[in-house]
Order: sequence, then structure tokens, then C-alpha cells
Amino acid sequence: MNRSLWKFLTSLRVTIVLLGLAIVLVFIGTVAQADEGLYQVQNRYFRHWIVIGTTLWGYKMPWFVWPGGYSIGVGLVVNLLAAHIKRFHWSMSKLGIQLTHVGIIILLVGQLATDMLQVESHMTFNEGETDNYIERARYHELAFTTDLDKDQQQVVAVPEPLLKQGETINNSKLPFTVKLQTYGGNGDVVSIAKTMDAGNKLTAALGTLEAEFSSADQLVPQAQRVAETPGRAEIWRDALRGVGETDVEDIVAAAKRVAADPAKEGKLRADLKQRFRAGMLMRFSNMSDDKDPQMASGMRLAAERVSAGQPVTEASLPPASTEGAGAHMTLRPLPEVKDMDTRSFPYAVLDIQAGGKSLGTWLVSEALREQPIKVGDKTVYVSLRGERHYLPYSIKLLHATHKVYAGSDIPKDFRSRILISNPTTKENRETEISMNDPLRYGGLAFYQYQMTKDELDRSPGQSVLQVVHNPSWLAPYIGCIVVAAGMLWQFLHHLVGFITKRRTARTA
Amino acid sequence: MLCGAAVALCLPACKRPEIRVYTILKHAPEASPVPSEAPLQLSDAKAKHLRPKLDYQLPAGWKDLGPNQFSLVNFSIATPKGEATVNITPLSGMDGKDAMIVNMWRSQVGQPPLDDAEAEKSLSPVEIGGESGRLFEVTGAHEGGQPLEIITAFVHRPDGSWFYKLQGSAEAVASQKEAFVNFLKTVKVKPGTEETAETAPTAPPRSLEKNPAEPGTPVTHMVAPEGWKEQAPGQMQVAKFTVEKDGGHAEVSVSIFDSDTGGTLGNVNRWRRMLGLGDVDENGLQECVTTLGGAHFDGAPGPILADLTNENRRLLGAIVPREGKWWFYKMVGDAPVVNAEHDAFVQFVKNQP
Repeated sequence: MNRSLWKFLTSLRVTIVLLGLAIVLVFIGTVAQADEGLYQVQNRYFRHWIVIGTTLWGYKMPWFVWPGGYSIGVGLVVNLLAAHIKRFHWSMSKLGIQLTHVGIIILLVGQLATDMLQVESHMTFNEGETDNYIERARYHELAFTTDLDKDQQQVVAVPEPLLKQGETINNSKLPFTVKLQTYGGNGDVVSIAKTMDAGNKLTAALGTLEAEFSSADQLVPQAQRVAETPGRAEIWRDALRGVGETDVEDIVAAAKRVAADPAKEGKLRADLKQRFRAGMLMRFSNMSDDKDPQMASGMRLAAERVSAGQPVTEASLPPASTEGAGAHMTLRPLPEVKDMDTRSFPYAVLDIQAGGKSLGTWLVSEALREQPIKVGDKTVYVSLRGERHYLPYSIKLLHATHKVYAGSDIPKDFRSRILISNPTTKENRETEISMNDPLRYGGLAFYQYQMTKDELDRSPGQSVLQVVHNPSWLAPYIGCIVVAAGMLWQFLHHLVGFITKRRTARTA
Repeated sequence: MLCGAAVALCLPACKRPEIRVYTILKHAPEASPVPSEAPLQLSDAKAKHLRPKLDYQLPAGWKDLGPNQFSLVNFSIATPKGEATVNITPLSGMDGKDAMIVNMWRSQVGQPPLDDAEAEKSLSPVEIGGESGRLFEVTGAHEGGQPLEIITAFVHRPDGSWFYKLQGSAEAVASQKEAFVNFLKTVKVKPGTEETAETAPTAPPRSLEKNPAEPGTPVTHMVAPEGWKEQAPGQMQVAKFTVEKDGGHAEVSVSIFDSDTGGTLGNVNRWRRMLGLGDVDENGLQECVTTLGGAHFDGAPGPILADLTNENRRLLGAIVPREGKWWFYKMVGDAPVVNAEHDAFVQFVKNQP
């Protein structure tokens, strides 16, 4: 090998430079999470060879180029190995350092292998349910399921990378051809009826508001109502200050003064209407899915349309598809989410074609259940779902324990009592999975992930297990043991040498 | 060598995605015969899709609470003797296990199991939607030692076993037994339709961060007293505030439900447990609850305020029936902060919405 290249590869300066690059990468990756989200940063900065472009504190820097996590990691391994080879010479006094280096190399290679080979999935079930599959939350598939007989089903699963707008899917196991008319990374599937219902409620509420502040005469009666409901008082006081009133402690008196001043009263009414309207729209826009996701989606869409001055009528809410659930639903495309607490819901509109003609279009989304497509006497169920992998055994959730520290939401004990039934090994045993105490079975690690609990502290008995397939899971353990052994050896070797030397000196 | 290792690592990661075709069992293989309280096997694609629909004549005073995770239908009945509930749940794999069913419910109220002959004796015939079903009663104690009576009727059908359960205090259940038996005669189970499947999406909540005000709740302007800071509400909450004072901290949450969710005693004991205090009975309840004044409805108690303290933590909890719904207000935190905000909290409760 070229001598200068060998010198470069074994240089300590290269180690320092690589560590410096790693520190900067970690810093930039941490800051960039605010704009790009954790998962994108993990993939683009740390699970990549090179980083091109970044956004820091809101500033876009498309010219930014930096070595990615893989480049720096591999560089460090190569540098460490080369230095090891160059400087290696067998002696008992150096054995500790050699072992420590080997341990660090194992850690680095193990981490690289984990990044590339590890697959994370989830298993979600209620007490009493048995499941024999795991699903990946952030990878999806279009699944077509057909009954083969009373016990078996055939599944044709199309992975997410093949789902692109305009693509045609042909498979000999399917009695039809599928054309992807639309495919989106995230979207609300919204009930047309519920959106119209929400739109009517919102319009009526806004109409009432308009009537409440339609003339100067109504300012004082409205202010008197505020005295009965102090919740609105601060809004009134802010608005009164906005028209130049300084003494706003007595809202009714201040309203009387403003009502008598034609120059101010119109402005106050407009300001109050705007503030209360904004409050109503915000409440609709921020509606959560927790209790009635369909109603919440309808309220969000209604608020969006009313804010934009658009109608909320049947004619203005086109059905997403001609057949299936989508015939009663409309689509609200959304930008893909990047934060940790929310997730994207991909959707697709499928044009199903058989015998040279279209059977209609179907909307599929992870927010919808399986839907039947009938072709002749055959029924195929279609769904867009998390990428699913079946296990050769099943797991039943017997009991979910969900305890938090009194007066807080801090988890105290999340625990799942499960029954593993493996027909291959004739195994049928109960075991527990709890926080920090995963189950390792069949090459997978099952970690206690989430539990659901409502405001009334009632546990509905649902448990989510995180399932990790990591062929290199032993690498960190082995690496740490080797490093510890090396350090121990180094310490003891020096200690023994020191004591021996001291004894010899005393004897002399 | 290093390049080879890198390529070996890359190969599985860079595998080209392909369409997968495979065969699965409709139901996950299950070795245990232990019955579950879960609805019909959810791994069955058809069962998942076609959720059964029920037709019935609702007796007077029964309030439909809609489906939940375990039951297709839930009713709440406010009686002068306390609250009773009715729920309807289909279960699979229960046919021919009548004795086990009886014992399953007996264990729920802390009663010893019966042998098959005794269990058979406890069953009486009942008509359920024109079909022959069976009915039995169990009495015992609920969690916390409260007396509880359950009347269960069930019928085995080709699509599973359907369970109809009336539950509550012995007096409340006795007062509703006749209505319950008459109700059973009117129930018709219909096959699921696409419509019923569509309206119940399977997906988990899109976000836990957004404001989860209950759909259909009247639009209100909930503005907090001075010094309270509005936060994104948690699950089942319509509003949440935090109060910081002199290094102390307290949280206020507001939730709205269609029922009183277990009554004053149940809720006060829940709050007591949150503070690490033990449960109390009706006598003990009087010591930690005061009335707030205001309208009663549906035979339920009027607005109440619970005041609980354990060492340096204090909790104020209010239950306010208002316009056909129950409003739950809770302030919990460091005692000095809750002490200072007591009056503001009471005013907030009285004046909202």
C-alpha cells in the first residue's frame, strides 16, 4: 500500500479530525430536529454517508455539505484498525490497550450493523386478544386479502415504495388490475356528512356572534352578560384597551362610554367579533381525534373552509371515490408530519379494472377498515395498513397492568402478562413483559411500549409492544465486556508491577 | 476486508422492495381455551369489516352512551336508587360453556365458582329478540367492597355469543329488571353493513397533543383566572391550565362526559387514590365533599366540590351537571398553590362556560 496513504490512515490527527466532524454533526443534527423532525434527522444525518443541505434555527442552508454518520463511523473504524495493525506488537504490558481498542471497534461496527439491519415494529392488542403478526408503524403496504377456505386467507401485499401515483399493479393472484389514481403521504379522510354537520354548527355559532354585536345598542347588554360569565372578561378588557379605554375594571361602565362614542363603538364591536370568531375557529381547528375521530376531522375541515371563506356544502365536498367507504368521505391532503407525537396517514385512490373496464374507484387509508371489492363471485378485501409480518407463533394478552405515580402521569409500572403459543415447539407458556424487562423470543425482542389510559384513570386493557429485530444486539454487550476486560487488565498489570517493584526496593 | 463488510451490511438494507404473496390462517393459532372479554375475533377480516348492528326499543330513562372498546352498545340508567348500566357484548368461542360463563361473572364479584350442576340450576330461560336465551343473576362485591348486582342474559348465535349485562347496586338493578327483560325481547341483531364499518375507523388518534374538546360540545369561551396559563389539553380533556406561584405548581383540567362516570363516591375515591389516600365509604364522603349549589337533574346530585389533602399536595375536584352533561374540574398540585387559588378555582367552576 502506498506509504503516504498508510501514514494518513494510521494518523492520530485523522482520529481527532473525525471526532471533531462527529461533534459538529451531532450538534447540527440536534438543532435541525426542530425543523426536520427526529426521524428525518436520524435518516438524513446519521444513517447516511453525506449530508447535503440543512436548516438551522429556521435558516435554510442548501449549500451545506458534511460527512454523514456512516462516513464518520466507517472512517473511525478504518483509522482505529489501521493504527492497531501498525502499532500492534504482542506483549503482556500492552494487552489491556489492545483489548480496549478491539472493544471499541466491536462497538462501532455493532452500531453500524444495528443501524442498517435493525427493524422496529409494533404489536398492539387488547386484553384477551391473540395476535400472530407485527406491524411497522412508519412503513405501509397495500394489502389485498382473499378467503381461500374457511380457515385460510391469501394476502397480496404491495410495499410502500411501489405505491406511486399513476403506477399500475398487476399480480396473477389478483382478479383485477389496480391503477393508483392518487397516492398521498398524509391526509385526513373526512366524513362528508359530519363535515356538513360541523359546518352548520360553526356557521350558526358565528351567525349568533354576528347578531350579538350587530349594533351599538347591544354592547352594554353583552358587557352585562360578561359580568355573569367572567371567562370572557379578559377578552373584553383587551378589546376595550384596544379602543383607548384605560379604566377597564368595570367592563359595563367602560362599554357604556364606548357605546356612546360613535368613533369607538364600531371598532370595539369589530374587534370583539374577530376575537370570539378566532376562538371558535381555533377550537374547531384543534379538535382532537381522541373521542370521535370522524367528527373531529369534520370539524377541522369545516373550520379550514370557513376560515378561507369557502362553503361547507355537499357540492363543495367531493367524494374521494365512487365505491366503498370513500363514496361518503372526502380527502383533506396534509403535509407529512415530522414530529414524534403525531404520524402521517397515507392514503390512495385505487382505480380497479377488470375485463377491460373500470369497476370504480376505492379510497384506502390506514384510517379506514378493510373494504370488499367484488369481482364476479370472488371478494377481495383491500386495506392500506402498516407493513405486516407474520410470526410462526401467537401471543395473547392476558392482562395489562398500568400504574402511574399518584397525582401524576409518570409511569410506575407498565406490565403485560402474555401467553405464547408456538405450535412448532408445542410451547404454551405464560410470561411477563415490563418496563426495562423485555422478552427475547424467536430472534425478536419485545419491549413494553405504551398503554392507554383515559382521564378517569380507567385502563381499557390495551397494550402496545415494541418489537425489535436486531441481529447484532449482542455487539454492545460483547464490546463493553472486552473494553472492561482490557481496562481491568491494564490496571492490574500496572498495580502488580508497582507492588512488585516496591517490595523489591524494600528488600534491597 | 472492510469494503466487503460494508457491502455485506448494505445488501439487506438496500434490498429492492417486491410484492409479497403469502397465505395466513384467518385466526391466530390459540392453544389456550381461556375465554376472553374481547369482542368477536378481531383478526377475522370480515368480522372487522362488518360490525353487527343492533335494533331495539330503548326503555324510558335509559341513555345511550354508544359503543366503547369492549361493548357494542352501552346504556346508563339513573335511578333514585343509584346508577345502573347495561352493555351488550358479542364474544366468540363461548358456545357450550354456560357453566364457565356463570362462574366467570361470579368471579367478577368475588363469589366462589359453582359446579356444573349448580351453575345449570342458576340459569333461567329468557327471550332475546325472538330467540331462546338464558339469564342468571349474581350478587357480590365490586372493587373497593361496594355491593354489586349483575343480571346477565346471553344467547348463542352462529355469529357468536351475545351477552346483555345489567349491572349496578342491588336496588338500582331490581328497579330496572323488568325493563331489562322487556328490552331483551326487542333486540334484533343485524349483519354489519358497509356504513357501520365506515363510521368506525380503526386508526389510533392522529395526535395526543391537540385540543380534544368533545365533538358536539357547545362552543364556549373558557378564559382562565389571572395567572393561569393555558396548555394543550390531554386525552379526554377540553381545557388544561397550569399555575406557577412562589416556586410551586398546580394543574387544572376540565373534562365533559355524558354520564357521571361512576358517581360522586367513585370519582372522589379515584381522586383520593391519585393523592395516595385510601378509599372512603358514603359516610367518609361527607367529610371531604361540599355542595356548590345549583340545579340537579336526572335524579343525580347537584354540583359538588371535593377537597383532599395529603401532606404537601392538595386536590380540588368539582363535578357539575350542566345541560345534560357532567363537567369535571380538577386542580391538583402543591398545597400552597392550591390554597392560594381555591377561591379562583371555585369561581371558575361556577362561572364556566
